[in-house]
Amino acid sequence: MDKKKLADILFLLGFFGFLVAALAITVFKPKDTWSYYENRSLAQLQRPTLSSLVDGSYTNSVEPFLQDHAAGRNTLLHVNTLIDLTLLHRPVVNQVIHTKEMLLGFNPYEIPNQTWIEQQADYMASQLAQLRDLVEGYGGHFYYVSVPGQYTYFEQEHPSFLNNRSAYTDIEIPAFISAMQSYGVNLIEMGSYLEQIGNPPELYSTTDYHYQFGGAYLTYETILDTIEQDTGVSLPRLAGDTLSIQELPNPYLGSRARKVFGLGGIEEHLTIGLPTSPIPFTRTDNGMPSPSLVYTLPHSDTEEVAYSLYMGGDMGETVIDTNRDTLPTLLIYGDSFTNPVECLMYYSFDEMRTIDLRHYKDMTLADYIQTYQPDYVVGIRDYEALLSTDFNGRPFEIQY
Amino acid sequence: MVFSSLIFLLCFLPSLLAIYYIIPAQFRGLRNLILLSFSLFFYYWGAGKLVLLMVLSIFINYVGGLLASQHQSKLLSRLGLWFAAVAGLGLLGWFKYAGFVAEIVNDLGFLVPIPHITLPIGISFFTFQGLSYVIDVYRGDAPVQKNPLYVALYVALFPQLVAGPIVRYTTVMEEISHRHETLEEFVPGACRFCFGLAKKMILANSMGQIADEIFGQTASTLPPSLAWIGALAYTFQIYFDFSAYSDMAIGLGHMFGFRFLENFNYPYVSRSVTEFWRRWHISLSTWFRDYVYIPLGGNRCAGWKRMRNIFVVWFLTGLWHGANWTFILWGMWFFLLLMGEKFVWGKWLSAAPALLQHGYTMLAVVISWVLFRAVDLSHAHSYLGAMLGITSATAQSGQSIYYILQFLPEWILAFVACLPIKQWVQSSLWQNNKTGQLVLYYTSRIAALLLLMLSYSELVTGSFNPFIYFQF
Repeated sequence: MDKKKLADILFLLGFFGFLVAALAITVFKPKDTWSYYENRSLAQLQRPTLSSLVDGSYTNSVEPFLQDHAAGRNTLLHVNTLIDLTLLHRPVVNQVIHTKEMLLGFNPYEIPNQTWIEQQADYMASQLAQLRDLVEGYGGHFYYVSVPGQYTYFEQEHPSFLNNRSAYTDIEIPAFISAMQSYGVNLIEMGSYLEQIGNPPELYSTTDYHYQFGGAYLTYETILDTIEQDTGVSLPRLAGDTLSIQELPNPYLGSRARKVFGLGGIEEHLTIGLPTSPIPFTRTDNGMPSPSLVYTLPHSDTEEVAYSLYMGGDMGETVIDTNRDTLPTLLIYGDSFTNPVECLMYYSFDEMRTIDLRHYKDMTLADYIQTYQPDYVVGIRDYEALLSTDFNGRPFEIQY
Repeated sequence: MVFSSLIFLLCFLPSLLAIYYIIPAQFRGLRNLILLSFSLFFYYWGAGKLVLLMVLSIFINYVGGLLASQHQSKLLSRLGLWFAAVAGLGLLGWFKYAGFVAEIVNDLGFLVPIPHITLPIGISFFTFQGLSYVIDVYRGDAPVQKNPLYVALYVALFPQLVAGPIVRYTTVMEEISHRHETLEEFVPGACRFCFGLAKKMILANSMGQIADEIFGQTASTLPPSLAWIGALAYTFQIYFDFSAYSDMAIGLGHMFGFRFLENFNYPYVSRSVTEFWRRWHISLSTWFRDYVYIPLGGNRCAGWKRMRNIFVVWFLTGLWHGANWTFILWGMWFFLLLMGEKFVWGKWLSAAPALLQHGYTMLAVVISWVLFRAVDLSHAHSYLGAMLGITSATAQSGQSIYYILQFLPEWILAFVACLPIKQWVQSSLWQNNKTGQLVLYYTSRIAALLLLMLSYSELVTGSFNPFIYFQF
């Protein structure tokens, strides 16, 4: 056979073989609903209706479905990421900044609007002042805790040409402190505490947005110290002899590491703190009984662990009751920065309630406080969320 | 539907090819019917119920063609031409320009409601294509097509339907009824399609991401370096995006036995703006030349009339691209440059060193793309100001470095792909000897397959995938 004709036939076989094989695998392979590494639901195919066929919404839904379920997708995502990290050395891969020592989040470039930030800080502080009034109205105490996120804690670790949000943070934090002072709301600004001890790198995660156990422990201690200073109440605390700290041998897959499919080459481990003399307690999650645990420990030493190790991850509502009536009750609300703090805080209170308004929709935060009237209410939010009116920043409304 | 989508690549194309080639070649009518049905489905997939507008456009051109062919009655013939022109351009005017005209009327102080109309994709392309058929029939340059399905196939043929090239009826009239699909045509077509797809997925989309992010910022705050990077990225994006589409269209045409004319010929190597327009969107330039410029008198008239003719062509070329003053300004920019080259600095330019010629041309072209990309005149003004250093430059520093480092492989590839290196390698291997030809034969096919797989990977792992020329 003519060599050129042979080339054409081989090409045709390759061309059609590839397209048909990709189609067949895409159609017949089992369909997942969740992408673990991307931390999102995969697109599902709509059922076609006459109206969706006419208005084009059905046709628009097909391509995202095919993209999410295409043959070899996971492998290709891994390979692409590996090429970007190791061969092309892109500074940012899958929205993650890859440095020698850590994985940081990519922040879009921005021009901070000082007027907006100051107005928003004032608005947030005014909302928190109303919440404070509500708590103090029945004799309780309200504290608000601001914690730096990874981008602030490791500000200097960002390559100089990428945005570490310092321009934004430098306006945001003074404005927020000033607004909270003007409304007289108790603010525990963890950034300043961390700075006082020299921002030890081990307190924050190198592969995740959150603090490590050390950062959470310092937050726990600072909250209890502040309560003691303000009220004179000395609560039992996990410290020194009463606390056993263990670093888990398991590989930790932080959110940044997860985004790069664990290919970032940065090894990190999570730490837990357990009471040397455990106290009995009951736990309910979203009203349902749950095992009396605060850490979701892996089954083996090699299993990957995620931040959901702490408290089992984000929950709408969790109640831990230690049945020690002489101690006060506590409500903690906020985003996932609350989780490792909760793992310690239950030890110091009779009953600890925690709600996360991203998931809890039964009532507003204000109504929840009014219903249960906890002795202490502590809100914990990070710098990125501090001025956000989303979910945990909206105490008087239910946001869906 | 777009070519760079999984629905096209995995479902539409294999299904069409399978059904089309199962039917024996002697059933040409059936093959054409299949091609037409798939073409209408292709359009429906992206445009929904607006596919009815496409059918209406086909009807207008079919009836217009029938009437225009009545050469024994000049009145009927003219009626056909005017019917197709008024109805076709009327639809285009309503769907594309009604909102713009209403805004102008409002700006003049006459309050009229501004209609919010969905722009049917590719309307400018299929309107011009249909109109050229009727004009050619009217002029006697092409015979009338009495089979409405064949007129429909000419207007709606999916490879060039939504983003060109604008195919003349005379180019494909024979092929509609008497084409021969062969392996020797099919394989180079499929290879061309793979190269075009990769050009779109790898180069155009990356450059588009940079351009969109920079043009999306407040122009008056951009430091000059960033403004230039944005402008260069868009310069690359528009070329790779549009020429990729043409490559895919031409390739797909070959796969079904059609030979569409080339639409791009390495325009960024041009040494003058005049040359640039001989290499860029060739099917549009020749359309305006043949159906507007020459009928107005072309070069064969007095100096001022010639100038008027060129002005009309460039005003319409600008307007064709979009209902916005920026497009008109873009057209006027090229009018001025072409006038300048024709009457003022053309001789000086042709005597200048090659590097200077290229520099001048690319500068003019980059500026033109800023006008083209800007949201409105004020945005264009601020953006060009930023490029010239008239800016507050308060945007966060470091962005320029980021956009260079993050997309360094794509920048390098883009610079290389703008040059006719592929052509040079191909021709030198071809002229070399039989072994060289064989090497070229095999490597081009292997490269095409690898690029197909790479494009598939990009499609699966990425979601940034808009085509620029759909808006026209």
